[in-house]
Amino acid sequence: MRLQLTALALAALGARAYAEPEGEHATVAARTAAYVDDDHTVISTSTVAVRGKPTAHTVIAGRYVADAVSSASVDVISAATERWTELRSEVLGGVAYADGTTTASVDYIYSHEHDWDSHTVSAGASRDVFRHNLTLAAGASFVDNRVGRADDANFHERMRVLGGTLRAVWVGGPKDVFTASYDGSRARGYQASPYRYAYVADVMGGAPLAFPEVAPGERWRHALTMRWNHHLLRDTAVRSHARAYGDDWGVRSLTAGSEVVVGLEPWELAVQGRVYAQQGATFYQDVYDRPRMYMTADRELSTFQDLFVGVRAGWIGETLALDASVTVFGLRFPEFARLPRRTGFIAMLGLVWAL
Amino acid sequence: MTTAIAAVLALVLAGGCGVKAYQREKLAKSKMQFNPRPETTMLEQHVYSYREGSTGGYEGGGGGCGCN
Repeated sequence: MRLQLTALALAALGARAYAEPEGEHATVAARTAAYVDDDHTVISTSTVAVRGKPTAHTVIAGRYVADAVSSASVDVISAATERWTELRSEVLGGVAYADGTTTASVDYIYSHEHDWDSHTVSAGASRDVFRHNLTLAAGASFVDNRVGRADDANFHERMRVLGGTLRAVWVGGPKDVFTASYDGSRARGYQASPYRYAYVADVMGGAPLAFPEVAPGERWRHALTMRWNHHLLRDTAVRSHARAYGDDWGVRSLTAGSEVVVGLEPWELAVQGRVYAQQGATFYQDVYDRPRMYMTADRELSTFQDLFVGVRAGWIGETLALDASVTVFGLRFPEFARLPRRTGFIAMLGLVWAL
Repeated sequence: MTTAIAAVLALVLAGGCGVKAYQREKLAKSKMQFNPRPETTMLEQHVYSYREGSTGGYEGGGGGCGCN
């Protein structure tokens, strides 16, 4: 469900993402990625996206994403189920207006899993001012999630998310561009996992007792983000970012990262790093001393840290661009005894064809 | 919020407004864009979203649960 929360604010600014395909009639992008971790989870994701410019000021976009997930993670084992495999499909359609100064966009995303359906509708607009030195953008989004449970045909829950984004992008000089953004959202409805169980210590000294997760029915989330791209030397860019996040479940986090991109025409090489530190939700406990109103076994709601480091190589031709990347990562969960660490890698291949 | 807007405007007026169109060659490069490869960003943010308790602030994401 976290994904819908991300989608809402970001799809809302979709106009900035594909508003100007640089004079091309259309662009086709295909990408495939493999995620592997030592918690026995493998995810294969493939996507095909098409962006076209039917008129001088109009952009249409379509995207299909397919995920294949196979997992026997500690969550699955804790739920006393066997390794499972499932498919997720996602379709995006959008239209945008861009005249060089003003953009406006509307997007729709439908995502389907065997136990989860979501519909996202978003809209965004931006305007350049001060001779294109400042861009102000705003967006809003609504997501309707329908949650099921694979082994229970009578399990039906809903979760709705309303969110918004405000963003400013400004030119700091001939070699610097900055952006600052605020993202806020309110989620209402079912926000636990129908498959996870929280543990309560047995006062008689036996094995902990398992209870279905119960999460609050409402969550307000806020994120402030700064990004800075700086050009240096002949053809190198340093792209840095930082984010502060907080919500009314007590989760607080800081994210920071940087990527150095070196151009060696027609090649492009990049190395990037990203660190994340999170303070957990106030109601999270690895093992509860007694049953509580809210209980979760979601380690992503605990206090933890992670690190991602990756390299990327790309070849950019006149009408074709190819790239490949590998990222390794590690997560440390000091409050989750069943999986104190997780490591893995993500490999990605991409192709962009300008028509 | 008013202070933040004033700070942004001050930064723009202090530096950016002096940047002429012919001085934007470096800014126009794809590596200076905030989201030059939308599909890559979408897949990366997808991973961060289902591995971390925070969300927002970066473009990308997608739909679905991803509760694995």
